[in-house]
Amino acid sequence: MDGVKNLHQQLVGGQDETIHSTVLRRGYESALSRLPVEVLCQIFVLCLPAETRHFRISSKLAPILLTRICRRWREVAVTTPSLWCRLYVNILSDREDWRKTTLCYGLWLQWSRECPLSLAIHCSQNGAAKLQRLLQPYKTQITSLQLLSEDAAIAAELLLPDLPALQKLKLQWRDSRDDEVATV
Amino acid sequence: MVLLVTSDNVQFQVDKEVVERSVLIKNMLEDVGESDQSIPLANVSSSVLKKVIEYCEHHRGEPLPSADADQNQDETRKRTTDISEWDQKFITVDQEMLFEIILAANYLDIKSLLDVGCKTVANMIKGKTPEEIRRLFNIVNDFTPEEEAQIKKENEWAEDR
Repeated sequence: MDGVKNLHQQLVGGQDETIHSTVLRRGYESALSRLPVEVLCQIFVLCLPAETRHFRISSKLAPILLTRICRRWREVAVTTPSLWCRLYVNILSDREDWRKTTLCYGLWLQWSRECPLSLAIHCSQNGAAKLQRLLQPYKTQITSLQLLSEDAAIAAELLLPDLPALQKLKLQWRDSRDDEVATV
Repeated sequence: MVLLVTSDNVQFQVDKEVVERSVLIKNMLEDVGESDQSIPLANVSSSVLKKVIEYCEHHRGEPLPSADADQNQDETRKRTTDISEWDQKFITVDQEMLFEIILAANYLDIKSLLDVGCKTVANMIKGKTPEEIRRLFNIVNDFTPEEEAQIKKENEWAEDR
């Protein structure tokens, strides 16, 4: 009889612990999920790499990292244009799978919505046409452009005629003879 | 002195100079004028208010950040997540309390405290994998298999970068 009582007490004790830990779990969940969207946005902006003006696309870093956690975070991240308004575009290698590259850059630019865009572009001579196609839908949003190319003149010619919102432009090209970078 | 009453009905007598770091309370006091009336804080419990007052006491007399301070700041400066030594020690609390402090700072409109809380959470997120982040914050991965597949597709190219 005592054995049964002990077992009963153990079960009741175990149940209490389970309820307690569930309540704690819910508490943690609710505290985080109770954060208003604007606070979550503020946290997300602070997750962006601090050491650079333009962000490289990486699934390990914000803002992309934040779209991979849960539905709410993804929803907040992709509807916060300020997370997506600074981008480093690197179009150098012909070996890249252009379809996958375009999907990545395309989504990033799409999530910037109407936000003014600041872009740093590293582009090879061969990449200029691809760049033109990629940026075509977003040309009216580009307010700042930093262009590093083997031949800046070609890339600039392709891009510049039709950037009505552009306020800042920095051109850099690499002189193949002495490998120096010239800046305008 | 100002009398604050928390959600669990605990009263706090606080210096006006200290409590006015909260823009919400500052505006309330300006609207009401000189009065002995208590201010009810229905969204803040006593344990959280105690921490908030500790923060405001420590930063007493410091200039309040202006409303347009953010706009004037350089973009990269805005994203700096450095926290002063005292603030760091102050915010070293359990996760539940951390989020409660953030909620209270947001409700009471104490910008600098909200910043400290948000920076702390951002620092907890940085450098972690999605799985580590979920585990840390007890977040359930609620993506459907289709959504997971879509995210995987989006990230194929960005995976090794």
